[in-house]
Amino acid sequence: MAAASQTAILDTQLAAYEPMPANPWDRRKVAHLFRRAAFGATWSELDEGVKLGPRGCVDRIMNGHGAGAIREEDFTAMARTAVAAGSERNLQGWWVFRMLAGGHPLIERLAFFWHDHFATSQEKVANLNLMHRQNELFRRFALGHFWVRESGGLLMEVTRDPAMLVWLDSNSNRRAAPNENYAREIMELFALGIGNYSEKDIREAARAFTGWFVTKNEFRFVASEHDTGEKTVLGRTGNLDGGDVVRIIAEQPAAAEFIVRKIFRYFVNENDPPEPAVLAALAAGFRERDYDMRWLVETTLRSNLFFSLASFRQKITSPLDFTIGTVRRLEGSRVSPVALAEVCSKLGQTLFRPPNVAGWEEGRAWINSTTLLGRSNFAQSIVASRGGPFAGRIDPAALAAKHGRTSDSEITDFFLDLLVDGDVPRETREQLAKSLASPISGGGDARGERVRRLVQLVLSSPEYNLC
Amino acid sequence: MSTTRRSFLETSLKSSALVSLGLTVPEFLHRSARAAADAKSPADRVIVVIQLSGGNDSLNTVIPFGDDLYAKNRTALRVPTDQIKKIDDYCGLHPSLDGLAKLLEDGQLAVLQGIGYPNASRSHFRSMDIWHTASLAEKLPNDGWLGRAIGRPEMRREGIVPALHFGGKLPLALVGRSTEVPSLNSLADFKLQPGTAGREQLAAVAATERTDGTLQFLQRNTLEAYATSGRIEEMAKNYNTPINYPGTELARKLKLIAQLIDSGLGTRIYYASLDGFDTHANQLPAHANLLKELGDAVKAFMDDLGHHGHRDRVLAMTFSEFGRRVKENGSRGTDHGSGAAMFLAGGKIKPGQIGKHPSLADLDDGDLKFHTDFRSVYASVLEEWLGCPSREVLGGEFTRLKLLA
Repeated sequence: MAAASQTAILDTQLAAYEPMPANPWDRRKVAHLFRRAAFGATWSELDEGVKLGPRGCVDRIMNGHGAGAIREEDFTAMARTAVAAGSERNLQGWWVFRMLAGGHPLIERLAFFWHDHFATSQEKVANLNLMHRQNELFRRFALGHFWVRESGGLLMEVTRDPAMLVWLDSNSNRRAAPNENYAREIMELFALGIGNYSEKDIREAARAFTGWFVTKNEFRFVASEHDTGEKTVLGRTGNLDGGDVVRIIAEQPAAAEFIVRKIFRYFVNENDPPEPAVLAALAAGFRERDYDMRWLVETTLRSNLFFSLASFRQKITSPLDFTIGTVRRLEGSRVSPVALAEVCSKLGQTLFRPPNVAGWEEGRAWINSTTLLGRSNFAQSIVASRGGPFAGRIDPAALAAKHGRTSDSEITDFFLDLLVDGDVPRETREQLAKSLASPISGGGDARGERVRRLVQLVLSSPEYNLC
Repeated sequence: MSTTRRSFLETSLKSSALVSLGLTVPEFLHRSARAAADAKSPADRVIVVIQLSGGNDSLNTVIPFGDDLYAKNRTALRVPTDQIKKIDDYCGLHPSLDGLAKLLEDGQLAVLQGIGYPNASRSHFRSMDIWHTASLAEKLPNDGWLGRAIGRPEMRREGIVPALHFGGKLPLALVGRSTEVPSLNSLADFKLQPGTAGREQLAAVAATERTDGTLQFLQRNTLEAYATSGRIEEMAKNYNTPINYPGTELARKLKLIAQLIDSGLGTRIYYASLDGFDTHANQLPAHANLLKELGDAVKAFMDDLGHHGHRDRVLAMTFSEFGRRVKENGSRGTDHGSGAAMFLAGGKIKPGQIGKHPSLADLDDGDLKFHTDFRSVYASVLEEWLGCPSREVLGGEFTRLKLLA
């Protein structure tokens, strides 16, 4: 594509969104940004976001909101404890806790993006230490370089990552009998996509990776198992080794496009791929900047496309977003992250255990009778005053009162605005108002219980499954 | 929409909530044919896979009593001829398989002889993975044959749980690249937890038709989920069956499956396992108990399905990762072997033996020789029963067997 028309795309669809009277910066746009790039916004964050304006608000997302309640070294200690105890549950809970209470939600979201992209499962790795180390790698490179010629970047790090080496059978990739597992997946799922390589490229690349072993939990190059013969991968011939192959793959034009497409799908639109001109402009910019994820993500989040109707509330909420987002919006404190991780697992998303090397399918695949009932049951338990793992951790009536909403109609509007951008059919709004007014049998704090029920109903609405 | 379907929705949603909104049963549900299940349509057919884990001793399951070599190889483990449930004058079923023998008499059981694959692995893990992935490749794929099948457009129906597993860890057979298959332990997983808001209020929030595509998808599925769970709860309370299921774990699972099939859930693949077949020592009593658990549970299951009018659209299939060696070992048990029989049960199968019992004289390194590749069975089940093209699912063409009557 000609440079001029790329510039035109960058000037229009990919240009930073600016508020206009017909398309103002408002709470809905702040909520959208926080849904996609963080894990949902609290009422105060919505207020602040409106004041900050689009530029300041995206700055805040890109930089994190600084010190969360928990210090970095405390998070590190928690992970170490979970790993030392061999507790996968606690390690899952630890990551949920980072998403929920950490100071930089975007980093956690991208760490998850990479976990989904380089999907590695404890199912086979069977080593929490390695899973945790890989997780820290994803965090370190969350907004780093996917590939950079001098130092290698994330793609090279992952290729030498012990969990990945175990996951894709590096130790059986021997000179006499190459194992194609990693060679195949780096081309098919990690960097190029089907159609951009041949079966012969895979076989030759596997030979280049021979001898890239993992011993005692570390990457180790075993020269005696490495095939030093001539190989041809993607048109390049020579005595290639694994590093050469990673470089050859990463520098294919298809590689930048592959990552751009996936980021676009994740942040902007999971239903339709980017237009060719948008893809080309983003991929070109990404390559020029040494595959800098910060540039790619920031450009995407600031863009007119991101704030367009094609993106707005057109994505289906993942279990992580559904559960963590609920607790953040309702300002739950002392909610057990381990219990939240267990709910996610029931809803089809078990951290550290993606269903296979292709990661989670997302979108409509999240939704079926069992998962919808699971979501509805979570909506019930998360605001319950008694019973279940979250009893009494969230008090919706108190939250509304804290923000000055006390009458029934104020309370209904407050929760609809906070949770679904105030956007439900008129009949549904009437139905919700009616249910808030109708009495509850069983005594207790009757009004508090009625507000809990209202919130349960809003969380169970079809609208709340949109992200 | 059938009357059954309409009343199903109306009772399960307790439609007063809908009526109070001036709504009738939503139009889209008219198009759902789930409850009006019709055995003639492959789209309503169900398969129930029963995995016998550990390597079932096929030779003492379908017993070739008519061959002297049986008694010669099985001295401590020989089942007396007069106790065997004879299929013909050469072979018959283990006496504990009384339930299956009755199904055979009623024309509801097929015995598939000599099933296996070349260069059989005697590793539990490798061989089970081969059966699950339907692949013999050095490096096995990381998805399973049923997982791949449910990813096929022919098998996909939005919002329908495509497959359900009863038990803990999901078997590789059900791992696919599409949705995650839920593993259930009980119907509690389908229950709306009692809260202050009842099903009626929840349904009312989702009752208004949405217009946007994604939102409409969510709204319809939400309503369907409530209807399904309502139906299942009603069913759990009222499921009336004159059939006495035995008190075993497999029977419990199969009873749940029968209830779910009857509930109109629309799921087409169910999976349950029975463990303990790795009988290296003192095999006789343990194996007899396992076969009894299997036979009695499957018999009760088929009777129950028959009572509720679903027998003709259900096919139950057993398999094990391998058979065991023809010659018993020195500790009154058997070691890992190969070649085995499979059972198929259902109202529509072609009853009786399919294929010959493998010869006891012509062995492959002490093991029965297989004559039919297990993927031929899969291909036949996929194509003939489920209406799912098998070539891509199985990674090749396999000869199809005539399994249906």
